[in-house]
Amino acid sequence: MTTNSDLDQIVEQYLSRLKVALADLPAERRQQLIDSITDHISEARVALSANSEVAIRDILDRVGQPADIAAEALTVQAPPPLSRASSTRRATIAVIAIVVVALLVFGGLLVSRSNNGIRSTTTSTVTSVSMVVVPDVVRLTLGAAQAELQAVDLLIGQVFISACAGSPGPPGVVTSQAPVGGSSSAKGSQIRLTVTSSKSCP
Amino acid sequence: MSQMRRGAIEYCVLALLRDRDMYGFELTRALSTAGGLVASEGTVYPLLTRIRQDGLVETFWEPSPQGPPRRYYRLTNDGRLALATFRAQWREFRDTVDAIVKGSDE
Repeated sequence: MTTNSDLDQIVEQYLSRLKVALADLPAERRQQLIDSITDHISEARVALSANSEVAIRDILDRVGQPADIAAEALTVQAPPPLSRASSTRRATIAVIAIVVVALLVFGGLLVSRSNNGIRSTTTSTVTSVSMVVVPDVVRLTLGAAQAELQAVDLLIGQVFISACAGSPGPPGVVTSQAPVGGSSSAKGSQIRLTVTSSKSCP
Repeated sequence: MSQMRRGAIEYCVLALLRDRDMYGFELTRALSTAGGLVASEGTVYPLLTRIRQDGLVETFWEPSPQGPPRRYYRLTNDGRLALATFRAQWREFRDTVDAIVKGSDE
């Protein structure tokens, strides 16, 4: 037959184990915790219809292992607690703000960079697509020169006709061009040519 | 994970206290009865101590009709505020996690 004092003793033993497990806590917190759990066990016992050993052990089982409670008590000291949640939240907002600012700054840089990229792409596009190498048309007839230039989308600009035909060679032959052959020029731009005259030099 | 659960339990305590004050035994039993939330009733007390220190709950003593006086826990204004904030954040958090977890599942 288990007497009430036997049951008290089971509870006392449990509380002693709990005290040992909580040894690392500050004294005040340890006492607070032990008081709370002592009250808890008392309440649970009051609610019992029959104060049997099985019932008491069941209550203590529900309260849990002293080691678990100690682990919880030691853990909750360190992690971000609730009231600090508001300051944590403020810190979080600050961090978010910093990240947003950083993103904006970096994003701005990236955008301006990519804009630059687009610009340089455009430029290189101009270089590769819109720019052509001017063919050398010197010594060609005007007609042949025109064909050569048209082939690369260049136009004949001003045509200077020499005052008179050069010593050798037929008339209507290109003697010089600007820009010169081999240089690059934008598509559609005009090439100035000088051709020999059909007039014989005096 | 345990950190996340611990955080959630604290708000569950605040939620239980939203409509009425409760004493320790009542509160911890309610939490332990809701399956899988707490390891044991005793592990809730360290949390109660902390949210009290943080000013989210306050305690007061009331005589019990049967047995020793009871320490009751009551939500403070800060506690109410923290709970309201958590509810909004939790909904968003849960929906986001749900969406991702379901998405990768199907």
